[in-house]
Amino acid sequence: MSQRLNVGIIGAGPVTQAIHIPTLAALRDEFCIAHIADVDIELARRVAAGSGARASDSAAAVFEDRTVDVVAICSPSHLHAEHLELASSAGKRAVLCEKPLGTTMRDVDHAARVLRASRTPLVLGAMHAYDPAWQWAKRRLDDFGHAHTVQSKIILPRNVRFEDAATELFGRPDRPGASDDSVNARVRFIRDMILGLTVHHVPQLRAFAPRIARIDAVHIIERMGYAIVASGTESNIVLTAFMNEGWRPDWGIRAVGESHSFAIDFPPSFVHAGSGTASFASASGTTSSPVSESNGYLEEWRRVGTLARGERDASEDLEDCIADARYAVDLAELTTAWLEVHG
Amino acid sequence: MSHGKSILADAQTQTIAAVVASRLPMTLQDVDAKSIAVLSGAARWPQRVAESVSAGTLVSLVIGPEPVQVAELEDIAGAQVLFGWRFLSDPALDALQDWQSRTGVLAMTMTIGLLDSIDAAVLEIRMMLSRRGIDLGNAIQRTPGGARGSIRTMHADDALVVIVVVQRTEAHLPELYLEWTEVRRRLRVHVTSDATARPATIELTDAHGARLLATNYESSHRRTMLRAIDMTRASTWSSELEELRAVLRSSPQELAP
Repeated sequence: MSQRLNVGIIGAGPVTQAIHIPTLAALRDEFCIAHIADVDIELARRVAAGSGARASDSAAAVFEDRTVDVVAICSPSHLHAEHLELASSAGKRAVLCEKPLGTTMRDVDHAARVLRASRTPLVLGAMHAYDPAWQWAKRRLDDFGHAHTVQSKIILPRNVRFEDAATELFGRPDRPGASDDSVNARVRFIRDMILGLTVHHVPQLRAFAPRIARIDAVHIIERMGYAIVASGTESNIVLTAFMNEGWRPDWGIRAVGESHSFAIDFPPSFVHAGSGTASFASASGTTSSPVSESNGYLEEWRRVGTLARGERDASEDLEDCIADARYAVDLAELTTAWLEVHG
Repeated sequence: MSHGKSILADAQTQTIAAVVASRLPMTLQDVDAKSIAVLSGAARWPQRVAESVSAGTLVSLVIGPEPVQVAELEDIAGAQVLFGWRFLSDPALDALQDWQSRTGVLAMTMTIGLLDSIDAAVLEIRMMLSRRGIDLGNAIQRTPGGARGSIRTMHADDALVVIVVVQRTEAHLPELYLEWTEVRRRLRVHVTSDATARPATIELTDAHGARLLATNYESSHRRTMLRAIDMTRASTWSSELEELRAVLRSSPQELAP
């Protein structure tokens, strides 16, 4: 193994504590956590102490830290595009940016221009894209053909349950309470849900329904989530996302064609539960992915390492990330436009 | 029928009738030859029921009925008709009577064969919903989606959303998934093909765990046939024709091309 890569992390919240620090600890031969920044300096210090990392209260300090090879952007979503640009300017060897890449098409396109120009390797922190089950499935998609029905289902208990199962969390942020029922509030809610949750399914949605042609119906379910019915150019699409108080998550995608079908089920966020499971079925039988001890978090960081060391051409990952980000924002904008018309 | 059991079947239902009857050697012994007619539910099935009644049949069992115009039912208004639904007739679904809900999200995905009728599938789902007091004819949004699938959704009221997906494929046997998700609990039902007697799966989940209900290796066809036999013996009356009429009346747009 070559010299370890020093990682700087911007944001010390639950994603950093429950996802990235345990993952980087598991990959300690490859990475070293060098610097953690958070606007809450006390939180940054407490989180950094466990890794022997430096702590600071500004993202700029991480970008300016010449010992930092790789930056993980775990700041609030609306700051991602700005922090991506700063990471590129600082000449970092690779960036892992938590989803979403940007919250508007303008932000995404700006980030794309900056990243292409600087040739900064990028991995988007959306663990299902790197899950071994999806990687197994991607290699077999050419044989799949057309899907006429695509269903994405995300049913999750509240994150707290999984955060607490992954680590002992410092400084849990307050969760926003229920907002009013105005159209504006509903638009904000569904936009946040799509860019924060459904975004995880975008690699699969893009594979089976490459373009969202129109939104047919949007239903918001009080205190739970939403259901969206959309049409692709040649497919029906149903997207559901609910957070309830049941104990069991149910997170998967089904794509059905005339002679074949695809199914994939993922473990929930925050936990390091091994890979998902994927299968292709036809009248002649079912082929399933092997279950792996690895998971999407480990694999996305392994990809960061491969890109940072120049062992892989970064352009394919970058273009995938940009296409996923554009698809997610497009879905969010079509959905909010539908809501603004229909209420 | 060639095996000599005492039911009649038309050309399209002979296989079903023969298979079911072969598993009912005792119960069929005292049913005479004109007691039960097993009829296909393909287009113009009311006409076949009328002919069967004219021939003296007591109970007409219509397998997989397709939607018809309400007016087509006028001539058989007094007939004893039972419907053999692909999934709705599964005996396991009796257990759902205890599930009372009007909130959350009810998502139903019915997978059918490439040559099966989407209209018949949607009608069966409408019947299921109707038995739970949900009329899909109200506030429905329909996404035809081409020849291979169809989606209907509705916001039944402020608290309940219904999503219905019908999809055609040959990758799986026909099956029905029903998932009803509420804030605190969730119901998941999987009903397998009516060509098998595999037990349905019914699972109730809440914050504390999940409960899997006991279900039997009994096909929907067998259950329906037993009900038909009971009707011939006990002269009980079936209200299913009226039930179907009400559903068809509530959703005339479903019959539009």
